[in-house]
Amino acid sequence: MPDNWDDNVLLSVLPSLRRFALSLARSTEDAEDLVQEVSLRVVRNGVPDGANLKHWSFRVCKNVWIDQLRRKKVRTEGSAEILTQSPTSEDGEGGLERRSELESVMQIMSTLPEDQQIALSLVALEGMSYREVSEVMEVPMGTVMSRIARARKQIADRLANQGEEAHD
Amino acid sequence: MTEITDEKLSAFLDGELPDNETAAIEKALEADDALALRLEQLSGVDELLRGAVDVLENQMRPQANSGSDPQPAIDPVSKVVKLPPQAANDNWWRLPLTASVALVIGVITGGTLFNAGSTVGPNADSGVRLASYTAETSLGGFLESAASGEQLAIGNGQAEMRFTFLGSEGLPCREFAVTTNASTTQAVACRAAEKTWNVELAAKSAVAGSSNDAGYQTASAGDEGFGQAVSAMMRSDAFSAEDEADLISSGWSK
Repeated sequence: MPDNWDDNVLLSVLPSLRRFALSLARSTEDAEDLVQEVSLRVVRNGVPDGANLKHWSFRVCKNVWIDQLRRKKVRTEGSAEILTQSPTSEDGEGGLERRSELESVMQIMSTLPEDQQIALSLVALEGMSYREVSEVMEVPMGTVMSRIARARKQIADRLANQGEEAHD
Repeated sequence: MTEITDEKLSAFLDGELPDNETAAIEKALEADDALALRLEQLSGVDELLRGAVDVLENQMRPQANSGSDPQPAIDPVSKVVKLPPQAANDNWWRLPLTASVALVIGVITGGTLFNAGSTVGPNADSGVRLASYTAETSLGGFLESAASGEQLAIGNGQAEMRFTFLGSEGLPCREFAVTTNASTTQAVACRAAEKTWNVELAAKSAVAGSSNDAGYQTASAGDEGFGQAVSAMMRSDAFSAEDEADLISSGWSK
């Protein structure tokens, strides 16, 4: 086995990668396909010397997802699978309202430019620093900062508008 | 309102501002309710996004099988994906993949990617699946209580426990094999919860001399790939028989 083999890193990346894929694909089936494709590509092509496996895997994921969107020639806007599930006892009171909020945030997310979705997901879900996001996305840190801010702003504004309309 | 843009607030949320700007925003937040509300709205986006992904992620988790086995007749098959010859290259993390070695998806995904019962291989009649097995199932019970070397007839196959080790997440994991007339499935399951074992890795190879229409790897190539894949999961050496017996008798609580 190569000296710098680190199976813990390999295995530890996968849960994060799956969450990232879920945030982009918004469907469990598409996310499975996405992670599978990313995994196979990384295995086939390897990781460049000196590259961080996690960052590299996320970069591949980003590229595969964008490729898939282009191939489909349609944006995957629309609802996620959150409301398709029957409310459970764990939801408690207000569970449906909570699920509705979660559904809304994913629906709004789906309407944003891909680069904003990716940047926000990496920070909000992964807790990546702007520097790390800039490595994954191959853009300057200033660009990362503005993409994340625009994404948050648009989602927050539209959620606020929905809240106001609901109370009118 | 203090003139602090959403971009600054967003970077403030992420801890990406210089100390002096962070301090200035903290001071402004104390005096400006509207700014504090805006910060709450922006941070709420992240919280909702995480919550939404949590819901989706929970839908992806394999549901524990309870009660009777889903497939009483065991014809072990695994999720295997054949990789092309170029899969073996000179990169540092090359998995043990030679031209004819099937890669076990469980290695790549940590065994958490697929829903219980979904299959990748051409044969959908899976017995050993990348799924959860409670101790009430034949396989789950075998994983929970069998000592290494012990055998048990499960369905139309013969299961054999091989050894126990600590997996990459520090959980006890067990390698076992199930052999039928046509094939042998080697697998690793890890104890994910009380009396619940997740099969995280499984590879099928045709028994020598049997037909291999499905195109799976030969047993020797599969053994090599599987063995190295298991090595990649192992945080500890295989437990001694004594340590293993202690673990089993303590209900895997040590």
